[in-house]
Order: sequence, then structure tokens, then C-alpha cells
Amino acid sequence: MSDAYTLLRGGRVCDPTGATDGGDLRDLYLKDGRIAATPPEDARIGEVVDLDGRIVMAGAIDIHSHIGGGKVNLARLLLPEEHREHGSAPDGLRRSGSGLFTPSSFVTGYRYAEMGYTAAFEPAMLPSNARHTHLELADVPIIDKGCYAVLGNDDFLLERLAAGATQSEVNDYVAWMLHATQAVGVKVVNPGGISAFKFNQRRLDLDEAHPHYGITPRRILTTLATALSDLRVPHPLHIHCNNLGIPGNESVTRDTIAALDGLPAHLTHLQFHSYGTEGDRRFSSAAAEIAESVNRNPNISVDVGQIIFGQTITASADIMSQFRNSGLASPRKWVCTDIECDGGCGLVPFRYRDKAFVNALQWAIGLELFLLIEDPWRVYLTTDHPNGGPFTSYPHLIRLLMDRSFRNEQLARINPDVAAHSRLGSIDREYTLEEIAIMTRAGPARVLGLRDRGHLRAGAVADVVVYDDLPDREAMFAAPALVFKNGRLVARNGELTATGWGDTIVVRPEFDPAIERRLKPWFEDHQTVRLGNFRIADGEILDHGRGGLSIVPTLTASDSCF
Amino acid sequence: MSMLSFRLKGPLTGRVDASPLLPHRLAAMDLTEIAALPLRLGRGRIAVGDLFDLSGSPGDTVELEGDERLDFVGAGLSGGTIRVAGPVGHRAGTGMSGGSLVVEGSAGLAAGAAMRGGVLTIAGDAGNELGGALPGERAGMTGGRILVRGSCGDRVGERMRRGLIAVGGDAGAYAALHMNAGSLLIGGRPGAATGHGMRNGTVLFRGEIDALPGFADCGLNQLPFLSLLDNHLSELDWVPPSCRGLTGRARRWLGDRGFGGRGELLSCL
Repeated sequence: MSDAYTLLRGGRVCDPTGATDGGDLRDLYLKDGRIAATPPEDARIGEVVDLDGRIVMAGAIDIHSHIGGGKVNLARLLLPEEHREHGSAPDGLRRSGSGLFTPSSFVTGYRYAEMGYTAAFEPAMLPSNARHTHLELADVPIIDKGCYAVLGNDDFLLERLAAGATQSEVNDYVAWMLHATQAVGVKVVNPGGISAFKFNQRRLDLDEAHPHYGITPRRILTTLATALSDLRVPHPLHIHCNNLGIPGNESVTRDTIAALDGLPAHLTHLQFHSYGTEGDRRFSSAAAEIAESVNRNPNISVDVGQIIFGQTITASADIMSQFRNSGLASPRKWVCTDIECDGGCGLVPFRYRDKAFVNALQWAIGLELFLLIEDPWRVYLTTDHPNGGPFTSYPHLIRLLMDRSFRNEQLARINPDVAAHSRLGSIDREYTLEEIAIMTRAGPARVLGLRDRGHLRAGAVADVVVYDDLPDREAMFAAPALVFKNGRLVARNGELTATGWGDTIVVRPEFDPAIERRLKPWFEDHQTVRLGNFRIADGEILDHGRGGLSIVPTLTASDSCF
Repeated sequence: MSMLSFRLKGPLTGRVDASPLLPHRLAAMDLTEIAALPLRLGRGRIAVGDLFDLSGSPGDTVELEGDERLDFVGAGLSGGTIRVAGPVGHRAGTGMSGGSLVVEGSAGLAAGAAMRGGVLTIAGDAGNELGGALPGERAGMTGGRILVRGSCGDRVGERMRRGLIAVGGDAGAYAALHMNAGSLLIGGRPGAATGHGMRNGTVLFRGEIDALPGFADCGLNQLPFLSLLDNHLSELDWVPPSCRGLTGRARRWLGDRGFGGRGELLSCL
């Protein structure tokens, strides 16, 4: 480590955590991979970078992006043509790779870094796929990464709940899983529904009993949300609601918010859960109702899962919805599979068409949610990569949010019925730079409990992005002037200049290890690996020499649990 | 008719992607432009002029000096002729849709894979996956002709949908794997597990075969279509002589019954 400081001089620092204003020019000192407080007069300053009033933000954080693990790999296999057509050759810096909406691991890291993203979270790691997921993420360079373990359709939990397990037993199980799978949070996908699908159920509402276990999604949801709250895990339950994509599912989404009754929770890809049944086509936007519900419940944070027109592939553990949508596959091929009785996996390639009423309305619903949810601290920018579109479309999405005339131009271009069925055209709101910094940095960092990321105060990890203040926000966010990861310059003008390795972010709540007495026979009777082999040791992540482990502290009594 | 010749300056130091050297692409360029064209060599790049001596003038025919490390020769060919003096590497004629690729030596892996049209002729042997499918694809060859004087490796005609492959010598294992339609002629001996997963299509060969259990033996037949096929073959150039002389009498197996079972294996007398 050098004892010299790197000085980023005279930037317009946009840090919504309150440390700065965003208006006046400020100097930023980096040292040993962290943001440093203003050093004493006689300190040695190494490199000086003149920013000339450019905009400075913390590294962006993608809270929900399917970038590794079993289903992403299946998606790559399913669309070989995508990888044939979009190859990227190696050079002195980069390894080769391929893919556009399911990029290979190295390409994923490079593209994120070139866009000023310094962390991304894989939201659907099935516990039985955890080792694969971490091995694959070990091949994602530069950015920090973390995973949410998917629970809520696993037979162990459902069987224990049906047998009347206590909350504390569930808490121990959840904590054990977080440790064993090296996760940073817990996601529940279509609570109970994936399991019910295997018992021939094709739809499951919040208070509908599971055909075999007899428990309801409501019970699964509240038990898991309570577990994370009891364990003081910073990231609350990450919820993919029931009945994704079905017209009229807004009621189950609102019921889910109500069922949580003040418990903190994160509702993911909300766009797919905000559909009404009005109009001739029995498909309408319920974004206003959902946004109102989110606005009224400060315990809820959301990400949107905006759709972007074009070809992509939907990849989800929600086998119930994926099987339902398999007839819409374009090109006509799809995969649905069980994974170790742990969950499911469905892959359906899809082309979102701007002239199709349903797709165009989905596009409008996503934007309505962004614009009608008032608190940028609780709504985060995602396309549910690759389900709504690839993460590389974020700059375009930012422009849609920041530039009303651009947005209305796009609205005029898509299926004309949408403008009549959506209030999007009448919404004046334009996101400010500060609000973008919140929804792509400070907000996700806060809801994930990352205390030293997402802001630029002294002590933060020196993930710094410098933007030219261009009127075309898409161009601005697509190719940041400078990107620093851990204090090192990794990209300039949207081109990679150096590579390296980020950390794997995990959480380690305390629990009673006695839960293993119950788990051990379960693994022996029902799983393909024994409990001892299932657990992922720290060394399996650290020994690659590809980044460290960063442990998110659990919440303490003094933390405001937002 | 104008012809452009590429003569290798020396031994290749790595595998070369020769796919840019297509007659219709080069026809619009002059020799200096062609010499400056970059080709992939291993992990790096090299200019055409540093690899080859060029002579002649660009037109509808390209003549190449062959090498086993010259990959993707004629890949994507849509018209004109490429003649290769010597062997070629892997994926020669991959995805070609028209024109003619003549290899006077042997070909490596996956020659003519995913071919849609045109004629691929190989005077020597061909490697595995001749006329096969690109990795992960559901359909292999969908049109055109592949004519091989020598033998071929495993999985010839994998996932084939249309077109004709005629191999003068022996075929490796799993010929016509998951074939959907089309015709595969084997002049020599067929390998193990011929026709596994066949849904439709025809495989013709000579001599005995130990057919897979998924095939039903339909006994000896007199099939008039075989004489018609023989007439058709007589009109084509380059068909290996061992594939000719079909009398119409053939022993027939139908299968693979685990996959629809409408394909046929014909042992021609």
C-alpha cells in the first residue's frame, strides 16, 4: 500500500447521503482503496486528477440482476445463437467472452464496470446451486457481488411449517442457510407456488392452501420476513410475489404488502406484479394503486424490473409462471425443470415488441411505478436483468426517467392504445441527478446494509464514478469519464483500462447450531449431498485469489430499521 | 472468369480464421485492400498480405493453398467458388448457403455444419460432425450437398433436416444422430449406433449392420425410388463411385422408435 493520496480535484460531488450538496466543487481524497478525510497539509499527494466540475458519484449498485448460477447457465445453453453472434475477442486486458443479454461471466464484469457499476447482486441462488453460483461469480471480474438464497419452496421448510415449527426454529434454519450458502439475503419466489406447481397447481393466491402441505403463501411470507427481522439481517425479505404476470395480480401484490403488516420487505420486479384487468383486453395498469400502497408503507422497498423492447430471455425460479408463459417463447424453445426439490427453474426466451399492446403497456407500467413512487430511497433501478432487458440498457432507462420529452417521444412511438390506457403521458416528473444517485447507489446500499458503499464519505470503499454532465443522459451514463474500483482506475470514457477482483458480500447472523440435528438426517434422506459437503467454506471463495469476503454487520438496536 | 490466388508465405504459427476470404466479399476490393484485411491468428490478428502471396484478380473464384490450421474456409459462402489445394482445418463451409467449396485434401471438424445450400466437395477424409449442427442448435444441415471421397468421423449428418451427404469411405459412430430428414449415403462401412435418435430421413449404406434396438427390421424390399436416386446421382459431379450403382434392392430398418421412428436405414444390395 502506498502512503500517498490520490486527489480527485474539483468535482461536483453528488452524494445524497447528506455529506455533500452536489452543487459546489469539492476535492475527494482516496487512499488504500478507501475514501479518506481531507489529509493534513504536509501529506504526500500522489496522483492528481483534475475533474473540472464533472459529476462525481459513488459506484452504482445493482440490487437485482441474474448474472450467475444454474439458470443463467441454462439460459446461455438455450440460446447458442446469441453467443455466436455476440462474441468479444480477448485483448491485453480482457479475457474473451460472448453474449448480449446472458453475457458470459467475464464480459458481465467488464460491462458493469464500464457503465460505472461496482456491485451487483444475484437474486436467485437456490441453496443446492450455491456452490456453482459462487464459482461462477468468482469469474466475474472487478465488481463486488452477493447472492440471495432462495427459500420458501424448499420441502424442509414447508414440511416443518406444516408440522408446526416454531418461529425460532425457522430463524435458525434461515440463518444456517445464509451461512452455509454464503448469502447476503433471502429471496422468496412465488411463496409456496413453485412447490405447489409440482403438485399440479397452476395458480396460488395468498390465502390458498398448498395442495400437499396445507400451508398458505401468507404463512410462508410472514414467517420468513419475521425470521430476517428477528435475525437482524439488514436486507429484508426479497419477495417475488405470487401470480407473476397474470392480469389482476395487483390484488395479490397489495395483499402481500398488507400481510407484512409493517415488517420490512423488498418487493422485486414490481412491474410484473402491477397488472389490472380493466379495458377491452382485460389487461390494464395498476401502477397507481401499487405505487400508492408502496408510498403508504414505509417498511416496503421495491425494484421495478422495467422492460426494454427487444430480444431477451426470461429466467426465473418461478416455474409456475414460466410454464404458463412457455407458449410465448420466441424463438420457440424453452426449459422448465425442477432443481433438487429445492425450487424450480424456467427459461423462456422472449421478444418485447413495442407495437404489441401488452408489451408496450408493461413498458409504461414500469415507468409509471418509477414516477409515481415518491421516495427514491425505496425504489431502485432494475430491469430484472435479463428478464425485462439486459443491464446494459440502464443508461437508456435513466434517460427515460430524467427526460420527459424523450419519454413522451418514445410513448408516441409505441402501440397507440397504450397512451390512452396509461397515465404516463400526463406525469411531469423528471428524476434529478441526486434522485438517480439515490436509486442506483445510496438506496440499494442502505437496504442491503452496505455501510461503506453507495456513498462518498470518509471511510467508504473508494468506488467512484466521474461523469461528464451531458444533456443526453443516456450517453452520459453509458460511458462514464472515469470509474475507480477500490481506488484504482478501471475504466475511462466507457472503456476498460484495468481489471481486478471485487469482494463477495455475505451476512452472518447468530443462530443456535442445534438446528443441524434436524437438518443432518434431512440431507441424508432427501438430498444428493450430505450436510457437511453442502456447506460452502470461506476458503472456497477466498482460495481463488479473486477478491475477499466482506461481511455485512447485522443491525443493532440503534440502527433505524427503515 | 477472374481468379484470385492465395499462396502461403510459410508455415502457420497458429490457427487462422479464413472466413473473410469469400469471393463475393473480395470481388469489390483491390489487391492492396485485400492484403490489408485482418485475419484472426490464434489470439491475435495478422494481415492477409503477411500470411499469403496474392496473385490474379478478384472475381468469382478464390484459390487457396491449404493448411490443416486454416479454419472456417468458405464459412458463410453464398456464391462463387473456393478451391483449396491441400487440406483445411475445422468448420470449412460452415453455414454456407450457395456456391461451391472444393477441398482437394482432407477437412477437419464440422465441415459443412449448418449448411443451407451450395456444394461442398472434399477429396480426402472429413473429421467428426461432417454436415452436423452448430453447438446447441436443434437443426443441422438444412440444404445443399456434401460429397466426400474418403471417410468421415463420428456424428455425420447430426440433426440434418434436408440435403444430401455422400461419403465414399467409412463413417464413424452415431451417423445421422437425431436426423430429422434428408439423405445420407455411406459408400463404405457404417459405424456403431448409426441412426440413433432418428425421427425421419434416410441412411443408405452397403453390407451388414447391427442395427440399434430402436430399429425394426423390415426385411428385404424392392424400392423403386432407389433407381430414381441413382439416376439423380449420375447427373451430379463428384459423387463417390462407391455410392453409385443402387439396384433398388435393399434391406430396410425403420426407426428410431424411441423418437418417432420414421427414419430408415437401407442396406443396399
